[in-house]
Amino acid sequence: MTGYRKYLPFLLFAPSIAIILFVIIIPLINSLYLSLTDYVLLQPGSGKFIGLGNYVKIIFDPIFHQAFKNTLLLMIVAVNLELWIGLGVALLLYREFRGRSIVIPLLITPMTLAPIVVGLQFKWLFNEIYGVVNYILTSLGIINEPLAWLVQPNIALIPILIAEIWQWTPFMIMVMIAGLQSVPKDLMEAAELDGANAFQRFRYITFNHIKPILWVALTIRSIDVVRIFDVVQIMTGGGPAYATEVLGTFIYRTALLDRQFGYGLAGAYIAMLVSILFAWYLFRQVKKVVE
Amino acid sequence: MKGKENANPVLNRKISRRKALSTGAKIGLAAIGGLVVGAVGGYFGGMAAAPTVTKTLEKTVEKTKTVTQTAAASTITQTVTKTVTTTATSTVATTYTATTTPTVSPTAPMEEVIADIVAEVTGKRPTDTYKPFKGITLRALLIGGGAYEKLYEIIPIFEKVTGATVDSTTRLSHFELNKKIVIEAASKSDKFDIFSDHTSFFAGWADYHLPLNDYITSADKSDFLGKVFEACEFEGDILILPRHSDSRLVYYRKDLFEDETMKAKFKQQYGYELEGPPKDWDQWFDMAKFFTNAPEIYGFVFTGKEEALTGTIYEATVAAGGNFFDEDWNPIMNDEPGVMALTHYAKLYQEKTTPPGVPNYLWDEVNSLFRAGKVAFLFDWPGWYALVKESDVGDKFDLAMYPKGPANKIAVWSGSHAFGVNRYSKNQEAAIALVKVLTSAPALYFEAKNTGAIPTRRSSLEQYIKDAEKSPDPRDAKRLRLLMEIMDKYYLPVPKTGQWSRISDAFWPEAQKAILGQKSPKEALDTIAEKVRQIMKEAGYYG
Repeated sequence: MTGYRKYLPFLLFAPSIAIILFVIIIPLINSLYLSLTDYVLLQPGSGKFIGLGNYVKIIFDPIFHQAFKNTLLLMIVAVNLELWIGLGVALLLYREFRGRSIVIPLLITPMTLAPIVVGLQFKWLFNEIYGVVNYILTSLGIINEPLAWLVQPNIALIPILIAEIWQWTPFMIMVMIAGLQSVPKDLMEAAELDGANAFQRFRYITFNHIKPILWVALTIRSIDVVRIFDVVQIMTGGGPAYATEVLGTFIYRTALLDRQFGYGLAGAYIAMLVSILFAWYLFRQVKKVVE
Repeated sequence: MKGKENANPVLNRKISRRKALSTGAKIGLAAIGGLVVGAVGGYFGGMAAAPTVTKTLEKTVEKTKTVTQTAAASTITQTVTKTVTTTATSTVATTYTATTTPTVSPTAPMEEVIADIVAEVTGKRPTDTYKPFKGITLRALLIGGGAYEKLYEIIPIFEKVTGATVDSTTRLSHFELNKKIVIEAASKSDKFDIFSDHTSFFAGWADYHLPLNDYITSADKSDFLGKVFEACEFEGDILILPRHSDSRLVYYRKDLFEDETMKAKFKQQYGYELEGPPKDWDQWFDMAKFFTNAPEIYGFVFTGKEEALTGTIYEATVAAGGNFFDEDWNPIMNDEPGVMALTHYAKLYQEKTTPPGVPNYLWDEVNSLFRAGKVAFLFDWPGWYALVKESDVGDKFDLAMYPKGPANKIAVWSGSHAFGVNRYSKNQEAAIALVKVLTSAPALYFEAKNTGAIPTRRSSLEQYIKDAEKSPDPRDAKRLRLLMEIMDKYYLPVPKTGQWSRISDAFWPEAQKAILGQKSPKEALDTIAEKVRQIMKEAGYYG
């Protein structure tokens, strides 16, 4: 009986450990190994160990640079805009008002859509012939002729950015509303009695109070943006001529279309490393704020 | 009497001549009579050997007779030499050698066709009591989903006639299928006996195929449409048998091209008559430019990314007299014809004869623009035909052949679904028979009739055209006739290398740069050639 009790925890954990081992750990190790080989999918005879060859090659690959730069740009711009727009809308909505129970569910609708649907929807909105965006802009006289938003290399990222912000700002709104509702009311009343104006109350009480939540939201969204794929793939496929290539489309194109599995996996590991670094940095900020 | 030499050794079997004796002669004549009756009753053309039957005889007879019959399954003209050798307890063996190759009718009863094919492959014809593949289980790795499945309804008939069991439950998407084949080929596995294949990919696993040369009759050779059949060859061997094909056609707005005001305006502007869709590249550009009235309508549209762009430039390169590779697999897409091809498409885009969104367009986008009346002409797949007919321009469009390229050539990037036999199969005869059945004239006609797929056999397609001719819409038959002409003369398969998808992926983003004007076509093609050389080197093409 003693022996049984001794091993019981291990027995109970065994199924979970087995699942983690076979579904996460072993595939991870296998993919890490493959990233160190010249493995080409559907090419018998490939798969020789080449050490860090793929990683060295990828560092000097201009298409990877483009993908990395675009991902970083999307992350910085999209996440920041989502954060500030989300916070602004949350400040408007967190207090009770008539119709709040209808407005909030409506606002979170974009978040519930599949990214593929969002991609298709924005692809049509920005279509150069039928798109409503060109229609509005030409009608208002802002542009003279319709713009080919998704094929002009210098502006092709803008529609993707807008789609991303449209879909994920509601996430920030939700998180911020939750944070704002947790701000102690007595503290706010005390500050008001002490003569603090609305900005001061926000700056010194509300903002400080929601800072940890804000950092957590930033972390989640930053990791999400590093993984961005569906919207870009649907809207531009990373084109034209790599102008909107992001890490997700780079990995997909290299590993699955170009079939350079080893090389694509090296890209995937670099993307993972970037995510981990961002997560580590942002969690450090959370820790600092909490402390 | 000597028959025509056939690649299949089975068809060349002879038996020794013996002297005829009177009693045997009667039996022999009776047997010939029976043969004639058999021919009337059902198709037996191309048959190398008849079933063995037991007779109690003591004599031997030889008799020659010419028989011409139209049977249910075929039109046969045969000179038959029949020798019957018997002893008191022996088995009567018969051999028939055809001097002309019968053509199987696409409307022949499937059971008869299967029996004939099995006889052709094995030398023994199945009967109600004789099932040559009884006890054999064939495993098939098939492409699945949608319209692909209909053809497989023939498999149970094959099982019934031959006694074989066919496990056809492994049905995968194209991508998954290719992945599976590579794994099977790499391990030299005998798990599957037959598999679905494609002219665009089969070279990547050429060693996995059993060469089918010895099992292709002259009737097969003449019946499969010329260029399609060539596309199934790899280094002199027939590795796959084609099933159905896809080749693009010119879809154009007949109402615009035949409008008298437009015609007069065109003549005034370009100095020559507007007589239907373009016949050469100069006319192509002129007409694209002429019909453009952006954003209301554009003259032309093309697919500007992914393999859809690579294939488009590839066919244009060949039409301009070039190719992507020389005989030693050196990339030559950056030679003059390639530059001409890419320059032509870049000019079409940069001169705004196409919608500005082209670099982001695939098949759906270009066809939807044509259906919406936004484009005067384009090159598109036959599969869109029904949808275009139902659209706003349904009664305003017509179909035509591609314009000739600068080398006075027409080249139409095409591909065909096919079947192959596993070299390592332990049931090769049965596997060959099944592949031949699935690509027989009646099978392909059956598939065409039920799914709209374009059959790769002349006889099946002709029959399908006959059906289409009954339609009140003359375009139905015209479409098929144009496709037949393409498959006969202008069909252009992708280069026969397993590296095509990598080549394409190296090609199109650089080609986009030329189309967008970021690079000159020559610069873009030089970069592509360099990348492709590296790909071929990695794949071991240069020793």
